[in-house]
Amino acid sequence: MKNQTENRTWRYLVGRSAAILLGLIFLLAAFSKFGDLGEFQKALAMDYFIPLWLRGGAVLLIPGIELSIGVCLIVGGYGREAALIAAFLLFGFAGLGIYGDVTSNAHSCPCFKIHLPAWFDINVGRWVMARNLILIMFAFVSFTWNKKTTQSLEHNS
Amino acid sequence: MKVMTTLVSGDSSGAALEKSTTWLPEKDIFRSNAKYKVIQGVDLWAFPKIIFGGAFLGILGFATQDTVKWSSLFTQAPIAKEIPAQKIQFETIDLADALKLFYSKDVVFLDAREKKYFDYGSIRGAENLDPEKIGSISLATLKRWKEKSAVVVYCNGVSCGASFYAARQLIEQGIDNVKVYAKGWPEWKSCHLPMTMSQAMMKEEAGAHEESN
Repeated sequence: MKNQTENRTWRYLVGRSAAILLGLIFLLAAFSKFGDLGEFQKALAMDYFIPLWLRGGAVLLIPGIELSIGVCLIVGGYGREAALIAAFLLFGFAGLGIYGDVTSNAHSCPCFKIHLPAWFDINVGRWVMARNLILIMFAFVSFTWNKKTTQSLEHNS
Repeated sequence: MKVMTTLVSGDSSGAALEKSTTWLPEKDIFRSNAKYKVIQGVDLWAFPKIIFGGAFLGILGFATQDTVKWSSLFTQAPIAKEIPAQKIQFETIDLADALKLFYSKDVVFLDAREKKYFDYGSIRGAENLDPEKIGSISLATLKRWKEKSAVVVYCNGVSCGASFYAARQLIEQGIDNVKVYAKGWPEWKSCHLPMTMSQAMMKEEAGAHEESN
């Protein structure tokens, strides 16, 4: 029983760390866009495979949703739900990135558009895929292990 | 402390019979209970809260920014507030105007598509222009364009924002005779107007011609 509790604590710590790290990355992404929404809008306009109606919505919603996800992940309130939404978003971004790369229609990934070194704001391609896969992994770790108050009672029943 | 928990009641075989969401004291979640199994402890109401909360923050952020305005959400290219309106104005031209300009010698056509598309096929005499690299174009080239009576920018049709973006960048570089041929390459190509074609495009065009015959 003691081992089980220790194991649970260890998992919780890993899950919580993953959540905080992912949250920081989402906050960074949100603030880099909020820093100059015009720049973000320009970047989306460059990627002309994104439909016009979606560009306006993306400019309005994505930075805000990234901000709320980041805050939830770091603070811990609705952290697991935020991790799930983050995973869905990252899957979406990865899909768009792959499509943009395959069709050569995307100029760059406007993920962290400004105020960051160039190596961080990488162009579309396999490195974006790799980065997204790592972030999706973080999201799943924080979803499955970042839980202190719930557990399956299957083994108890 | 109470925790919102999704519960599934089931029989001993594990078959789910009924699902419900309720608030349970934290201690009860850890208590052995053959009747209930916790499903991950996800609060379904959190999803709309996070998404709509974020959307609200996003709209609020957009409304308070000086670099963007609402009308830019519905236009091809974003327009910044800080640039004076008279400075960012450029003319959007149609095919007839583009043709007139094409046959007047003192005009340069700039293709704002990616180089591989430009190499595949482009308006005859057009030059390729990467809108993201306008800042690094040589002064001699900028001067040459500036001396033209018009600089026509085009890309992959009305759904493509690159020509508008490029036009704005060119204006920021001091070129004020910029025009955007909005329908761009698809219209020009479909009208079989003078083009520079790659071997691959020639083959494709020949194939299409044979098929149509």
